[in-house]
Amino acid sequence: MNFSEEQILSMAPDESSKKSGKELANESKWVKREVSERALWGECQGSGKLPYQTQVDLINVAFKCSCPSRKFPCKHGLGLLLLYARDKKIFSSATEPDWVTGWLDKRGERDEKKLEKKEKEKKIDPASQAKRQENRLKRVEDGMMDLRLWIKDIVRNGLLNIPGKDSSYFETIAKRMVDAQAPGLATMIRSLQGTNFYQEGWQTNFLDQLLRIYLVLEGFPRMSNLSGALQEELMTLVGFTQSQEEIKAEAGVRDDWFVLAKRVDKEENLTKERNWLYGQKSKRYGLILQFYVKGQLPEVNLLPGSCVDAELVYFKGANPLRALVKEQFSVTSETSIEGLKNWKEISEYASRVHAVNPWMNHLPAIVENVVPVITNNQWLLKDEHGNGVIIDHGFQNSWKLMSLSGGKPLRIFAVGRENNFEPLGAWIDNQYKLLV
Amino acid sequence: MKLWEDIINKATLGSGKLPLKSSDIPEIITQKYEVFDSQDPEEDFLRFSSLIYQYRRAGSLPLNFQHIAHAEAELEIKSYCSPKASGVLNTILEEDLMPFLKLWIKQCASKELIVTPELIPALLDIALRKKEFRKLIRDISGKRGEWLCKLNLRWNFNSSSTDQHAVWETGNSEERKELLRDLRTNNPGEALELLKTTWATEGANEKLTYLEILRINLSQSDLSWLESLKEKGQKVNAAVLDLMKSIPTSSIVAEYSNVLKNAINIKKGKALLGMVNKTNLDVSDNLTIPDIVFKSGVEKLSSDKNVSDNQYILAQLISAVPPSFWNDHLQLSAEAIIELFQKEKKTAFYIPALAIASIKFKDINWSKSILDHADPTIIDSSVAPMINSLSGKDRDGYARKFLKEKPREIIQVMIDQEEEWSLDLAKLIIHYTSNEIYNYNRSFYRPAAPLIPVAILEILESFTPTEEQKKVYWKNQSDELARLLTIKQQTLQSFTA
Repeated sequence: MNFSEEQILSMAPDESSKKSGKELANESKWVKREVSERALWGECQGSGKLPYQTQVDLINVAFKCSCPSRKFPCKHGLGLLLLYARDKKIFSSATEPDWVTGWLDKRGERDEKKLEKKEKEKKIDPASQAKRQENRLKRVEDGMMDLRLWIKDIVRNGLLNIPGKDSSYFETIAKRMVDAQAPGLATMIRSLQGTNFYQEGWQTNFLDQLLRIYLVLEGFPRMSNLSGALQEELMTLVGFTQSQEEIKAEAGVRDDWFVLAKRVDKEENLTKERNWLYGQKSKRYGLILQFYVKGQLPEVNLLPGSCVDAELVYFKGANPLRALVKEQFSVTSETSIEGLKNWKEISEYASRVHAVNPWMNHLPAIVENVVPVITNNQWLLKDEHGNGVIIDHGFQNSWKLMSLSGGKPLRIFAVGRENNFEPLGAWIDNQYKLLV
Repeated sequence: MKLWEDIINKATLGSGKLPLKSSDIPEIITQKYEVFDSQDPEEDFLRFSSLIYQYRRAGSLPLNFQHIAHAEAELEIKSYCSPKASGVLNTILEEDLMPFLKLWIKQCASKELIVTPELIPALLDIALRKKEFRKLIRDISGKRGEWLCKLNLRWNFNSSSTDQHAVWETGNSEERKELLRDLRTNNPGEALELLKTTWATEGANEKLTYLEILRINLSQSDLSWLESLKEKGQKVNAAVLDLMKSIPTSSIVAEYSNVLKNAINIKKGKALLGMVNKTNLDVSDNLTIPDIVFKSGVEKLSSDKNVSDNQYILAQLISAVPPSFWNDHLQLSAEAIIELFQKEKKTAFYIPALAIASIKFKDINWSKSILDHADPTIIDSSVAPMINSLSGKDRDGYARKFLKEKPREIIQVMIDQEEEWSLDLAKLIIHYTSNEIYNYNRSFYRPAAPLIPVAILEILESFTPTEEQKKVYWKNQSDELARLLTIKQQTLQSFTA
């Protein structure tokens, strides 16, 4: 598997680890450099008497090192993988030593044990569970009544004064939704609060989100009239979680999943990671969401631009995107990706998705033969038929995209809706370049 | 979508002022869904606008950009640098290691390679901020870079001569200064011609600024114009004169030379009862100095009681004529002339003035002769500037020779150079700086690292200071130096086949 430096450095816990990792990506620092089909290991002379033993799981990318660092991955892990990415020839193929085999085997066992433990925990009294569910539904309905009043208040007074409202205006009702055990609605309200009021056309973004919330309030009491998939979708939007163990127990989609992009947002101690994947055979997109607090590790490490043979299980819902990695088999290097031919096809695809899921907001899309163009200080993505979309105002790398393109059409991966998309990656000479 | 715009207008004002009615919904929707007004205008707004929102989302089409043209970049002639080299450049850019950027670009250019497209915008942004990088970056940005510069006017640094005239005539003070400075650096004659076009209309302050810029690449070809100037302002006249004094063939330098010709000559005599020939320098006590010399800024009176007025005047004149004057005048080599001056205390007094002249007129041979043969205690303050005026190996060699006597000054001179130090010089400097850890920290090693040979990496530990309290500091600094030298090593390796 070919890892790019960019991919590897994106895993560094901080800037100083990046720096130190790069420094250790030097042949002379490693007294031993070896590789097998599933792992990479080496010995690095540190300040101690014995060299540090560093190992990298190449299939489900993970690191282990005997150094005392609390950072993860440590600079040795990053340095070793960087060195491998730069020059594979300096790593000799070898049989895994005991300290590598031991670690890899333990990782496998640990995953199995986790599953067993969770299965044991599953045995819950159904009667009390039903009672709890009933109480919760009642609370949610009460909360929704308050939310409806709040929305109608906005509608009556108009959007004109909304940008001047302080955060408590949104936060109070969001907290009310948390109390009403509808955290999904709280998130939707906070997203409303996050509207960029300085951007031209903010009213549309605000109203769209307000109407999506209204649609949840309207749909929830009529749940029994909806399809199973829409019911699941609605429950998720309100904030009813789906058990990950139950989802993982379902049959998944095994495919060569190309990792299109990774977005990491940090808020206080919580890190939210969004990984966009594309199944090369199934032609489906997947969104792997991971949340972890400081000091915790994400369950899976997905490197943008890499391709993993894995089984993904989707959450229940209407045309779901969110998925879990049920099992990862290997990292592959072969990619054959073909996107939709033009923006019209993307529109048609969006309409089809929207018909199934009226709450669908942003869509991932791979589009062929698109040229970035700048006109009157506005960035556009134009296809070969002369149709196109506007590049999201927040996108910072338009000139990088322009330079990659050189005015020639290229295949891009973008996320967006209607006529507004943000490119996150582009292929140039069949090589994937990240734009985030 | 007109319909949605109406919704937004109503949403902005609020249903209290402008309600949304069922009659506002187009027939295409009402044909399929029955809509009716209720007693609750807010509920009506939410219902109707939800319907139209879904209608809008489901039927969204891409925008028509057929009328918007786009151009393609020309095909590259040169090859791209390796992915490894791109990786190193990425590190350099992320860490803002400007001295390494220069090294990287020079390596890339020397191999006739160009940078990969994704990194060009970041480089052009640097060129925007740092002019000294513009040419270097242009050389490695290839056709793609040229194309991007045409699209992004902020990056369009290479304005044509028509643009230059426009900037010169209509630009603000800073833009004009920048233009003149760039032009003077790259095409001195053209800069002078441009300045001539508006000289008569410039104010005194502007004239002073532009004369200072003319100091860049000042040469004999500027002389006739400078001598032709008849300025009213005293300050401008002084600045013009000052420039002329830096041109060896100027009339004022000729005046100074004439005074010196009459004032200092070889005197041959006999010593040891006439058995040995004796050659000395004779310094005349009766100086005849034309007024023009004093008007040009030479001061008459010495403020030092140990220095006579005559000595003071002669020292000023010696420092203001090219040292090669003495070769012609005394018909001796530089070495012999220095020996002659040093023979007696009263003439050795003029050696520092000779050193100043060698620096001023950039006479490398004289600087080397002074450094080789003059008494170091006499030329003390001129050592570092003279070393600075030398080039390449000479500079390195003399820096090694004088490092012990003048470590701080010479290190300061050497850190401003672009050529890599010799291993021997680097060893001497690091040996000094590692013991002066409080004065030489990371902010020293960052610009110094590109000048230090990577071979130092292997012997970095040998510089550990003996004093215990300094060891910890040195460990941090040597770690940083090792990191920087590793980047240098990677840069060099990434361009070797």
